[in-house]
Amino acid sequence: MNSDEVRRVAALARLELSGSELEAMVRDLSRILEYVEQLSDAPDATIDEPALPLREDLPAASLATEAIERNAPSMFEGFFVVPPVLGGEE
Amino acid sequence: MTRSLAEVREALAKGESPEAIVRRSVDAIRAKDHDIGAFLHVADRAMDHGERRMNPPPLAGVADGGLRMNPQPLGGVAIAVKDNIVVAGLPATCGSRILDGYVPPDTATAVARLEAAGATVVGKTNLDEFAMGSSTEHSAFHPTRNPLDLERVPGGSSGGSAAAVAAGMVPIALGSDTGGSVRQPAAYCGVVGLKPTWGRVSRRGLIAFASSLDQIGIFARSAIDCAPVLAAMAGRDPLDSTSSDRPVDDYASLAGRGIDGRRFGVIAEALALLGSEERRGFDEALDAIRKKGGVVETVTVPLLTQAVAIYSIVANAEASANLARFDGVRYGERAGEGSLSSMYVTTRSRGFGAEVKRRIMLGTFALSAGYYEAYYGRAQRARRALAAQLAKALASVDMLVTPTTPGPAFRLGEKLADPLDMYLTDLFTVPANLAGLPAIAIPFGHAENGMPLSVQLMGRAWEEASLIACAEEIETRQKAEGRRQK
Repeated sequence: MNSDEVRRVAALARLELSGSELEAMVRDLSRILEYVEQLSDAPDATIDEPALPLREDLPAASLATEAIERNAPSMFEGFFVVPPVLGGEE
Repeated sequence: MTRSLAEVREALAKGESPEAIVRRSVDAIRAKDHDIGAFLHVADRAMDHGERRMNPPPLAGVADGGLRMNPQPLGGVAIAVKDNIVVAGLPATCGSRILDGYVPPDTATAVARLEAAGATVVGKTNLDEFAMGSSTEHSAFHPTRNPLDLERVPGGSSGGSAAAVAAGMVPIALGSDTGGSVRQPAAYCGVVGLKPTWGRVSRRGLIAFASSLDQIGIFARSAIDCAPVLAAMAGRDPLDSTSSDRPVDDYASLAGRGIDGRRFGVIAEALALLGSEERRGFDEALDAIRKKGGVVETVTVPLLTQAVAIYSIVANAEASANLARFDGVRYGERAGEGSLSSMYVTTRSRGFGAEVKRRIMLGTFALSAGYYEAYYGRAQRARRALAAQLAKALASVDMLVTPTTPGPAFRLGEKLADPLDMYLTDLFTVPANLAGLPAIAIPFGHAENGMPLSVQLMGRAWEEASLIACAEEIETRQKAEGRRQK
């Protein structure tokens, strides 16, 4: 892993790494991925995953809006407020 | 201070009120935790809180949890809860800045069931941020110290819960075990740690790390103390569709039939990795099993040596997806304005610590276009193959026995420089998570530096009762032979 690859992955993960964080990340991820390379010898196994069951979709009591609102960074009239989706600085 | 459920029962029999017994735990936390740092939050008005919580509203479905016979089997029992499990009205930080200030509106099903059985939550315990770590040094708030040697780590990620039980602050604590996060700290702190079968205990209210591996587990001073706690927590929860509707065993009454005549498989690949000191301790545990009438055989699980590699990809891939929800919109700390995407990036970059970022990066990479098959796909296939090898071994023996960890508790700071070195402390514990099997860590013997060693029993799915029964006999044997004290 080089610093360009780490930057690409950081963008996917919505993370911004400082210069020293980037350097450490290149070093640590390279070492971990090198260790993971041993998996190349793992025998194949067919994956026949049963689908996880879903519960029935029935109307039931839910949390009160106020309980959600107490933890929200910013709310207005029952809606979460966020910075502009369009037109903000990118 | 009450260290075990037997002591709680004794106090109740002497006429002490459940409230007074719980209060002694709170006093013990106040007296001891300054040096140890097991707790992130003590229910400060613990007694108001406790008294309110001691009469919780009736809970639907609880009767299925084996409580019909005795309405308050855990009366007077103070429990500490890892801070990634939500309890209404108490903070839940996951050991992270990104959730600083978050107070959940609801209580995890497992905790609600313990409260309905009479237990009282006295505080939330420290952990590696989002349960990612093996030493509790990755908490964003403070490290926890091992009560047996304050210069050493308590293990992790549930280090606070392990330390709280080991120090005698509470008789029971809850943790979460994704790759050994209950069993490894139990081993380092010299207490019992049980990870149930995946699906045995509802994960609703456990803040997700790796959903296919996560399971709520129990810390106690003895194996038998796990029985009524598991009986109260286990069982179907309509709000966790992966929870099993298999009937819940009466673990305490089944604990009678133990080691005699059962077959125990020693994993050859695990033995090969032990140092001489750990090998000596492990051999003593095997002797104890033989003396109790157990048959010890050698089995082979070749993929054991790859378990940490498999885990590193599978767990962190799931983590990268689960932690996408921490974006500053609905809860927790928000940072940065400008545009929505710059707010996401700033919030996450400031809110997550170094280890969490490393795991999210690794998982995102393993799932990214061009690498998915080579990493995630391959790891999933290897995971199935490992599970098949464990199932095959468990067809010829009743349970598998390994040391819980490759060595005893290490010093604070000792493994911080090399993340891989830290991950490898989970070598013997991750297989149970990858295969969804139950496992229990039992203190057995001590290393030359005086720190406890521990032996792990791993069983077939849903056979927690056998694990508890055999663990109890191993403990008894050890006590009979006289514990070598530090």
